[in-house]
Order: sequence, then structure tokens, then C-alpha cells
Amino acid sequence: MREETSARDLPMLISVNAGRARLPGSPARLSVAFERCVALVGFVVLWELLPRLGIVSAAYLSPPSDVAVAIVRLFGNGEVWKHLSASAIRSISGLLLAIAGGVVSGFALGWFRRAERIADPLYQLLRQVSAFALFPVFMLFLGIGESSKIAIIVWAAFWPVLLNTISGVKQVERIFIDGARSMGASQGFIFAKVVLPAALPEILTGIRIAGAYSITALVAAEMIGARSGLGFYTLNSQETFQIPDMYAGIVLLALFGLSINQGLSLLERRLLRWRVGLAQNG
Amino acid sequence: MTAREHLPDKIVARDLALSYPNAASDSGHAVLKGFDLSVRDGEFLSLLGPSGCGKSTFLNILAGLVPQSSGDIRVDGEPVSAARHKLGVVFQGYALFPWRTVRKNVETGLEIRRVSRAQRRAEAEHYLRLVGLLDFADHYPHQLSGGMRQRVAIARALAYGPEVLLMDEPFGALDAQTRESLQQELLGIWEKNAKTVVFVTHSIDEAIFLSDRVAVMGRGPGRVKEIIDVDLPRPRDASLRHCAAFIALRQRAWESLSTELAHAHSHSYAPPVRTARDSIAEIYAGEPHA
Repeated sequence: MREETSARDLPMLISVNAGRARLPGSPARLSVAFERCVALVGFVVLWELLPRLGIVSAAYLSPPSDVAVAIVRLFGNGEVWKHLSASAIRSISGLLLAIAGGVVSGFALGWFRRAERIADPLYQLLRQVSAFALFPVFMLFLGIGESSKIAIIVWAAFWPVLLNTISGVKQVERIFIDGARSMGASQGFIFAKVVLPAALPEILTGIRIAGAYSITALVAAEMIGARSGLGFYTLNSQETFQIPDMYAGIVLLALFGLSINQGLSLLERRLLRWRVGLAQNG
Repeated sequence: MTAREHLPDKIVARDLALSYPNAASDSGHAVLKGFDLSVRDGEFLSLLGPSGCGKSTFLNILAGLVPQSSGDIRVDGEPVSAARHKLGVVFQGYALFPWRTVRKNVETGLEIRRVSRAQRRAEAEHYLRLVGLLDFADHYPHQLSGGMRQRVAIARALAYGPEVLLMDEPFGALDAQTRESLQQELLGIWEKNAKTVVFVTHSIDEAIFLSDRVAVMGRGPGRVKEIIDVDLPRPRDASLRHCAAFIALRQRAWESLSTELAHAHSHSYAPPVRTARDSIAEIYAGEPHA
């Protein structure tokens, strides 16, 4: 309830988020929690009933209770860690490479207008090239090993980071740069302490999109040629008619994607704390 | 302020010109031409003129943010690129970094000068106390009112100890009451710090209330048309606005400006975005006593 205290102590301060501060366990909060659960619970119940009542064949659609058993078994025999770590290493290293490349080249293209005008037609074309279409090319150059799988993830995740960084850097308001220059700032100071923080909201949006793309690319890469990873496990289970395990792989992939997304939005909230209440108060 | 007449010139601009290349004609659009101005050391000088006359452009050249096309401008005999460390700029609204707290905003100039953390903190607190905002040091700019933000901007420009303060319509976006109280506060700070101030405004009232001298600008292209000496006693307070000498000076500045506006209207030099009537209305709008 920090907001309420500060608003009382400092009457001139525009209170931030005052509407969101509610007591835990209050009826309003419970009803929000209920609303957020309803669709999820309904979905699981429907999923359980369809195969159990014989409406859909259980050979095609395993009920969630069977899927849960399969997941518990995966954790029990430790097999899950092999696949999860393989997927995590691929997607996180691919994402980090894409972020590094996208931010650096986005900074250069956003700052030097001429370079951007020259490069724009090229990257508008290249970003339309599907990462999956390029997989044979990556395999040709990099072989069947880890590097071609990481390359496909880098390709998919690079474009949103690049485009958002360019647009973020281009939109930095002149007055911030002039303000820093009027105080005698060097070019390095302007890049690191003015342009970067000013463009950061857009860059982080790009990184979040890249996170989602990297999971999609990961699954595809693992289904095409891999001996480990959640994508491989899912396809392999289907090929060996372990249908509950196939659904277990899908559920674990969804949870993995969710946790990547949560991690990135946590990072975003942490880095953009200064923006709290900015939208309301201009 | 007759005493200041014998002071050396701090800033000298001679035959300054700036034009932007224009696709439609070979000549280009002249913003400033034949601009001459001398600012004395320690004086408070206002540049008064209608919107679009080039007064902010002059300030940007002086701040080293925009290069002039021709002519000469010097601070203490040095070109502005070498004198940048002597200048502090307060822009019109929204120039504070929204991602930095008030304290970190004020520390920026010291950080650029690689001043130690402890000293930065002490200096920033000194200037925040000066503008009465020490209690808000850990707030973000968007949590403050417009008037408070401009006080932070003044503290930020003063914190690294510039010899000249350049102010580009700093109170232009504020309501009349806040504006008057900040004018008063600025005079108090100026009297304590004895800096040279170049203050750009389109409000006659504001220019006369604050300044030792008012340089009235004409436009098409922009130049200094007339300099009005403001021989009003200091320290000044709000009651000054009602005294006969103040009203006479305002009348004089108004006449100087209005002939300029009529002139600009008959010859359309600037793109006809706004008419003379708009500019006159705007000048009056900035004046609660008009």
C-alpha cells in the first residue's frame, strides 16, 4: 500500500495506481481470481469428458488425467531434464544471440538515417523469409548439429528485435539528445544514457515478441532433426503411439513458453519501473 | 542597473545568419539574418519576439546545438563549441529524462563531468533545496506538476555551475499563477547566483519583469530590432507590475512589437502558418494584466 501512504504524505503528488491497491482477500479480489480460473477449469473438464464419454476416441485425445500421469512419470525417471535442458539451451542461446545482434544493428540503423534508407528494402525482404524455409540452407552450411538449430531460432527472433530497436531509436525525442548535448555529453554518454533508456520500452517489446517466436522456431527445429528436446519428444511419442506422452510434451512446451514469456515480462517491469503511471499522467 | 553598463560583454553575436535550404527556391529560407547582439556579464537579458521570429533558433546556435550559416558568435571571446561547458540550458517543458529520478536528472551534468558520486549527490541536493524540491528528489518527473518540473530543469541546468544560463520559453506551458510565482523564484535564484541569463519569451510582461534589458526581435528574417533598457529597481516583486514605469515600458515594447507584426503581415516572408493577429492574441494571452 505504498502508493496510498505517499499520496497522503505528498498531496501535490499525482497518486500512482491508487485504484489497483486493494486489500488481499477482499471480495473484489476473490471475484477476479474466480473469473481468471473459470475458462481454464472449464477447458480441462471438457477435455477430460470428451474421451471419457467416448465422444472423441481416447486413442487420439488422451484425457488430462492420463497426461498428468505421463508428466509425473517423466519427472520421476528424470528423462524430462534431458529434453528440457536441451530445449532451454537452444532457445535461450538463440534468443540471446538474436537480442545482441538485433540491438546492435538496430542502434546503427536507427541512428544513421542514410544507412537505414539503404538497408530498409533489404531487411523488409529478408524478414519475410521464413526461418523454416531456410532450415535446409542452415543444415547445408552448419550440419545437422546444434548450430543449425540455434541458427533457425536466431533468424526467427532477430527480426522483431531489429525492427523494434530501429523504431525505438528513431523515435527518441530530439529534446532529450539536445538536453544532454547542452550539458556537454559525449556521443558515448548520449548512446548509453539517453538513447538506450529512451528506446528501451520498444526494444523490450521486440524482445518479448522474439521470445514467442523463438519457441515456435525451437519446436520446428527439434521436430526436423534432433535426438533430444521437448519438440523431439513430442513428435517421437506420436510416432511410437505414446499418445499421453505426446500431449505431455505439448503441455510442457506450453509451460516452457509461458515461463520464457513471464521471465521477459518480469525483466520488462524491472527495467521500466519508471514508467508506472506514465500513461495516465503524460 | 546602470552599474552593469560598464561590465565587459559576455556574449557577442555579429552579423549572424542561418538559413535552411529550400527545395522550392535556390535562396533557401532565412531564419536569422544580420543578427547582432551583445550580452553583458552578469546581466539578465530577454529576447522578446513573436512566434516564429527565430529567437529559439538563436538560443540553439548559442547553445552549440545548431551551427550558424554565417557570422560570428562568441562567449568570452571563444567560439560556442569551445564554450559549451560554460552554458546551461533550460528548455520549454518535457526536457527532463523521464527514466531518471529528479535527483538523477539534476546530477546528469555532473555525471558527464565525471564528478564523484558523493559530490554529485551533495551538489544535486544543494540545487534541489534552492528550488524547494528536495523532498521530491526520488520522484520521477511525470509524478510532478508542470511548474515543479521546470524548477527541476532549472536545478539541472545550474547544478554543474555554468556561467551563462540560457532559457528557452521555460514557463511557456504553465498557467498564469504558476508562471508568475516561478518568475519571482527565478529572480531570487539569479540574485543569489549572479549568472548571465539569456531568456527567450513571447510575453512582454515576463520580459520586462525579469530583465535588465529586453532585446525586441523582428522577423522575416529574424534580427534584433531594438533594445529596451529596463531601469526598474531590484529586488522586484509582483507589485512592480502595477507601477507606472512598468506600464510605460510595456507600452513601449508593445508598440515596437506591433509595428513589426503589421510589417511581417504585409510581406509574407515566413510561411503563412499564423497571421499577425494570431501572434498579437498570443502575446496578450500570456499577460494576465493586459
